[in-house]
Amino acid sequence: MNLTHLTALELGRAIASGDVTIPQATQAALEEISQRDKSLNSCITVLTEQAMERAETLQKGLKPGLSPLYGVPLLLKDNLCTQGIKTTCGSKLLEGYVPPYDATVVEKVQRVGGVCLGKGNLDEFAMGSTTETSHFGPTRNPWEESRVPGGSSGGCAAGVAAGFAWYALGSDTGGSIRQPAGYCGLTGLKPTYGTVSRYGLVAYASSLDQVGPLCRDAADCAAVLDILQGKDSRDSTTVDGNYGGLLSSLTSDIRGLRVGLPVECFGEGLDPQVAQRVQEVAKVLQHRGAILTEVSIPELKQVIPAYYVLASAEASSNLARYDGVKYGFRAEEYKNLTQMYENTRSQGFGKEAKLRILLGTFVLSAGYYEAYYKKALAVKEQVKVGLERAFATCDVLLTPVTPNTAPKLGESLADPMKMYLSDLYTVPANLAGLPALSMPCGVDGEGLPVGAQLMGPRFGEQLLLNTAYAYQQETDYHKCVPRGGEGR
Amino acid sequence: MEETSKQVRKLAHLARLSLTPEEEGELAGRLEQMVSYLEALSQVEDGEATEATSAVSFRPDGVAPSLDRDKLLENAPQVRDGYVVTPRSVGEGDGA
Repeated sequence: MNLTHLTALELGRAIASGDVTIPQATQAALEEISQRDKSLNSCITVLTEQAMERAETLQKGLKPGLSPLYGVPLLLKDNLCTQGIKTTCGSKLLEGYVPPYDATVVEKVQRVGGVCLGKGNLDEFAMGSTTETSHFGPTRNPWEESRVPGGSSGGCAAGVAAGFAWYALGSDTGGSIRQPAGYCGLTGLKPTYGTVSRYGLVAYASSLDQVGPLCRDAADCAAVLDILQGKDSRDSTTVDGNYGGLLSSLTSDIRGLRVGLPVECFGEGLDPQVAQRVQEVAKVLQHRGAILTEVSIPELKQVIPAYYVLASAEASSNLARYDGVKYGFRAEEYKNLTQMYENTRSQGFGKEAKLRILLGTFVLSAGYYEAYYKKALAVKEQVKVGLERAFATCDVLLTPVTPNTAPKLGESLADPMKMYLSDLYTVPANLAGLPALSMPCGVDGEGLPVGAQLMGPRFGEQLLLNTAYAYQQETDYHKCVPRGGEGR
Repeated sequence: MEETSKQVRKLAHLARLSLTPEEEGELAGRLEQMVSYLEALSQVEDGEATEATSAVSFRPDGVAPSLDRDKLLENAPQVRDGYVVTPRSVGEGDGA
C-alpha cells in the first residue's frame, strides 16, 4: 500500500482502524516532500518537527468516534494565518510575518485532529493564475515540471497531486482553487460566499474571497467542507448554510438531475480536446440518469472586465494596510513618513501586485468610478440574474474549468492578458457568490489533466458534491497520479 | 505615451508607490492595455447595481480578551517602550 496515494478518508479509516499510525503517515508525506519539493517548490514553509510532534500527540489521543479526518496531514495555503508560523502570502512584504493568531479554518482543522505539514506557495497575495508571481519562486506542476500548476493556490494543488499531503485548504477569488485543481488533476471546491469564515485569510478581494478544499476526490471535499463550514462571529459575512452532513448525504444517485450546459462556455477560444473531455462528462452523468439541457446565459459575456475592475479595486484598498508601520517589511532608507510608506511598498510588492493596486486606484478615482466600478457592479448583478434564471430550469451547470490545460512556465508572464482571459469560466461563481466544483475528467494529448466545473445555486454544495461523487463512481480519472509519483 | 506615464505617476502617488523608470514604462504599457480592454464595460447598462449587500446582521456586543499587546508588537519593525516608532509626520513637507 502506497500511503501517499490514499484519499484523505481512506487514510483516516486506516488510522482509525490502527492499520496506519499518524506518525507513519506524517513521516511518509515528509519524505515525499524532502525527495521532490526541491524541484516542485510547492511549500514555502515545511513544518517537519512540529508535524511529527503533533502526530505523536494525536496518536496518543486516538479513540473511537473521532472525525473521519483525525490525524490526516494537510497543507495550508500561505495566506491563511497560522499562530507562531510564518505566513508570507508569497510576498517580500510579509516575508518575516508571524501571525499572533490562527485563522478560523486553521482552528477548525486542528480541532478535528489535522496535522499541518507546511504552507503552500501562491501567487503574491493570491494575484495570479500560475503561482509564478510568488516572491519565493514559481511552483512546478508534478504532472509535467515544465508546466505551471495553476494558481493562485498552486503550491497546495501541486503538493496534494504529488502526494505531499492528503488535502489542502486554499482560497478562491476568481478561480484560485478550481483552476489549479483542474491543472493538477484534483477535485476542488469554492463554497457559496459566506459558507466558510474568512477570519485570518489575508484579504485580496473581500467580496469574492472564499476558503475551500483541494482534495483527491469529491468525498474528501465533502468531509473537509463539513469541518470548515459554519457561521463565525469573527466574520460577519458568514451565514448558516444548514448543510447537515455533506459527507453522510452522498448517495451517488443523480437520476433526474437536470444538468445545464451553457452555450457561452463552449464557444470560441476553447481547446477542442478540453471541450471533448467535458462533453464526455455530460455523457457519463446522462448514463447515471441525469437529464442534459442546453442553456444560454448571455450575461456571462462581460465577466472578465467586471471581475478585474472589482478585484483590483478591492485589492488596492485591502493592500493599503502594508505600510511598514505595525508589521511586515519596512524599507531601510527614508527621509520622512511618506517616503517610508512609498519605499516600503515599492520594495515590498512585486510587479503584479503593483499593477493591480494601480488599476484599482484608477477605477476608483474621481471621474472613472462611474465608468468602471459602477458598471462592473452592474455586471455582477446581471450575472447573478442570468445564473438564477439558468437555475430555474436546471439543477447544476457543467462547464470547463479553463479553456486550455496547464501552460508552460513563463508563457503567462509573457502574455498576461491571455492569462486574465482564461478565468472566464471560473469568475462567474465568484461574482454571483455561488458554489462551484472542479473535478478531473481525463487528460489531453500531452497527458495533462483536464478539469470539468460544476456550478450550483446558493448553498447547492450537496448537489455539486453528489454529482461529482456519482461521476467518480463511473470513472477513475481522480485516481490517476502524476508520473513522478508512480512507483515510489 | 507621455500622457499615460503622467497618469501612472499620479496613480502611483495616490497608492504610495514610487516606481523606477523601467517599472513605470512597463506598468504604463500594461495598464494601458488593461484599461482599453475594460472599455468593454462602457456598453453595459447601469441598471440597479446594489453597492453592497447590506444583509449583514450585527452580532451582540460582548467583552472578550483581545490579542496580546506584546505579541502584536513583536511583528512591528521598530518599537520603543511599547510603542511603534515611525518618522515624524508633522511638518514633513518643510524638510523638518
